[in-house]
Amino acid sequence: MTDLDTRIRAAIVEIVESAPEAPRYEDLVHEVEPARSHPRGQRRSSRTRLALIGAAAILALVVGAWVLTARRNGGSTARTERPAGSSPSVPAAVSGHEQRIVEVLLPPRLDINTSVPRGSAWSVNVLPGATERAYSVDGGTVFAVTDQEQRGSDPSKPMSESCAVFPETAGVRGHCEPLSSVEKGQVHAVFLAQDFPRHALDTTVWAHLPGGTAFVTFATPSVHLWQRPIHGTAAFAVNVPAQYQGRDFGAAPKPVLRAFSANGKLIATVEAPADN
Amino acid sequence: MVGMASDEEIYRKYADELTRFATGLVGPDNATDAVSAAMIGVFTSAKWPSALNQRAYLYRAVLNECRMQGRRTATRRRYEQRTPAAGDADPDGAGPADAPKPEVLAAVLALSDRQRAVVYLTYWEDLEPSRIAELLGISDGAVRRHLARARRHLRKTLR
Repeated sequence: MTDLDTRIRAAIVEIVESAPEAPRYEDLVHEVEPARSHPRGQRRSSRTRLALIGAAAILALVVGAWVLTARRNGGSTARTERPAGSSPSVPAAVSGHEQRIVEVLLPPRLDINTSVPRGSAWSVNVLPGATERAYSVDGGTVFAVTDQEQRGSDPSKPMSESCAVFPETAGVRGHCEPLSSVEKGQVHAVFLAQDFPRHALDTTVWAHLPGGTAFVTFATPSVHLWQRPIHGTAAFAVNVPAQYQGRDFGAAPKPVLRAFSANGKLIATVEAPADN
Repeated sequence: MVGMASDEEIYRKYADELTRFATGLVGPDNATDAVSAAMIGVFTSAKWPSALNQRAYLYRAVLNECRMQGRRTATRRRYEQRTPAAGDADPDGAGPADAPKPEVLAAVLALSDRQRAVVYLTYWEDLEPSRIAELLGISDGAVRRHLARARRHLRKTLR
């Protein structure tokens, strides 16, 4: 073992030896369904299962109807092959192919009211007047966007933030920016989600779009997309180029997003984060 | 017939090591919250009952939660820098008696989430890269890269 290894081990030991006691199981169970202590695999009651099946059926019907409507209108389910500029309703400045965003039912896993633990030292709640909404982009990726208030170890210092929440391998992950800075225009609420650890699909979300935004474009050297945002939110799901897949995050070129007005006037330009 | 372990049994089996893992990732102040949030996420996940490697699943859940909290902490830090509250400063500059030295904690917390996870599992759990790769769901090569970069960083900061 080298001297460096010894120093690193000493540092880790120093940190880990300060570990608090593990949370008590009893403190966790009141946060989740009463059947928690049942054997694995027998957890969900038949009523819950029926409710889930019903919700899935409704979602399938909604998506099916939307797909049929989209096809009847001459589009495809996710990305039209009609270049922007060829339609009189899309200004020439908006180039590339359309990638659509649709609002979907908020999955319980992303719902701040059911997915955030209650009763621990920190709490997170949707800000009064705000709504947590879930979206699907490109017919697949589902994420949620909300304005929330977080109270940490010092409840007297709540923090309001604009967040996008994405499902991950286990659990969910949120990306946030301070709401006051977003509202003042000091930062943009642009978030990147990467499908860790595979890293084959990047989803970039722009929430709190500037007022008057009718179109948003997404550009990398090889991908040019555009979208009509809904509820002030745009999102693009893009396959990571093969040469960057599985490599360290942040290696691929940063996408550039632009917000345009209905008549094609550029409102804002922002570089997407390269890493989250 | 041997029955399947309940969530409670599984939690009790791994709670201490997961809390140590979280401490290595986000420090002692946030470790309990991270483990609590991760476990609630796991136990309410539809995928959990079919998880084949439960330990790996729990480690990844804690890592993901710590990454999320790390983001929140970073956001909060930026926020608090802009809105300092009176009386925030610790007049003695000293934390709790059993807290790690600030410079040591800072050096480790300056690593990326994945680097910290790999460093912890290497130096505390004494795991081989292949075992770490299995726990975190990444490749052997990625583990070695993260470890090499972490060592390079720590060489500069842990003097």
